[in-house]
Amino acid sequence: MMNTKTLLIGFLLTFSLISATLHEGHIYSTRTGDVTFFSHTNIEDIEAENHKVQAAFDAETGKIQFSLLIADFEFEKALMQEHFNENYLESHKYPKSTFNGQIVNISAIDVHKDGVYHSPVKGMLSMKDVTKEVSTEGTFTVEGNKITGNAKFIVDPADYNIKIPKNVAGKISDQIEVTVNVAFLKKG
Amino acid sequence: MKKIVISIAVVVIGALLYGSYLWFKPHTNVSRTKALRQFSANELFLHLEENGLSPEYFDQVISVEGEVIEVDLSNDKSPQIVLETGLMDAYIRCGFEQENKEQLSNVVIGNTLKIKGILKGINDADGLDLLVARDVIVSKCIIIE
Repeated sequence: MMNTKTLLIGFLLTFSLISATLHEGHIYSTRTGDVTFFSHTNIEDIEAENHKVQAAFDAETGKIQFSLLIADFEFEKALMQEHFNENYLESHKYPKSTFNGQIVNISAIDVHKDGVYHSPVKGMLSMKDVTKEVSTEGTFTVEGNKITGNAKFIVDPADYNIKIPKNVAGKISDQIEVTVNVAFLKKG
Repeated sequence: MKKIVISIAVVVIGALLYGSYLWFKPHTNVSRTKALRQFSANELFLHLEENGLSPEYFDQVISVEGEVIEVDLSNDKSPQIVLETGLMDAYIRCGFEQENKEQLSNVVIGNTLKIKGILKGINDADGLDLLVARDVIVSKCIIIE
């Protein structure tokens, strides 16, 4: 006959398993998201892309998170990539950028019904040694088990302690446009 | 006087050539660069987890050998191969150029591959509870065996 301790352990294990399964059921994630940034000045346009962005959101709570490696941004010109990593972002010292935020109007997104939905997204963007709040309008396109998320927002390098030398300041905008394009798949 | 003019011209031309070299400096050609070190997938992950990404390996060409756990073609611009490390939620994610998509579609899950690429670091959860995977990121990859 099973004693009380064995029954309790069995109950806790079953409860944990059910909780984990239920939790995973409304998590959508990807590890191949795209984040692009674009700087426009009269002298030069600079663009860089990262294709290995890890991201996930919880369709019940609206919590949304991103993580990417700064050094994995790819530029057209090797010299720009080198300056970006070594001088401006110091990617060896600060290797990652993360976003921890919220899809504000998650209840407006029906993940069980194909369609295009909109909601403000806001949260804390960390880059180098600075974390600041950013907010934008997100578009979420539901197609079966796939939900594509798109958003754009503006970042001022000075806000993130990114020091641009005076001799190249005219070539780099203080209004960097960041574009996010991620295809989330349902987990589990 | 003539010597001075020639000297200035040489310096100016030299500066222009050096500037042009820097401006048009090509990206690292992975296929022509010798790997700094060969790792197994497990060794590479443990090395980064224990030591961090040292300046010695940061942004350098390395090679990594491991079992293919996933061929991920979900990103149109960057087809990717994921190698098993034998550790929980820990993988080696190798990004390829777009033109390699067809080659990657023929890769068989479970086969062992040796891949060369540029080591970028670990993209892990870092306190973000929804993100569970710990991906060692290797870019501009090519399959060598």
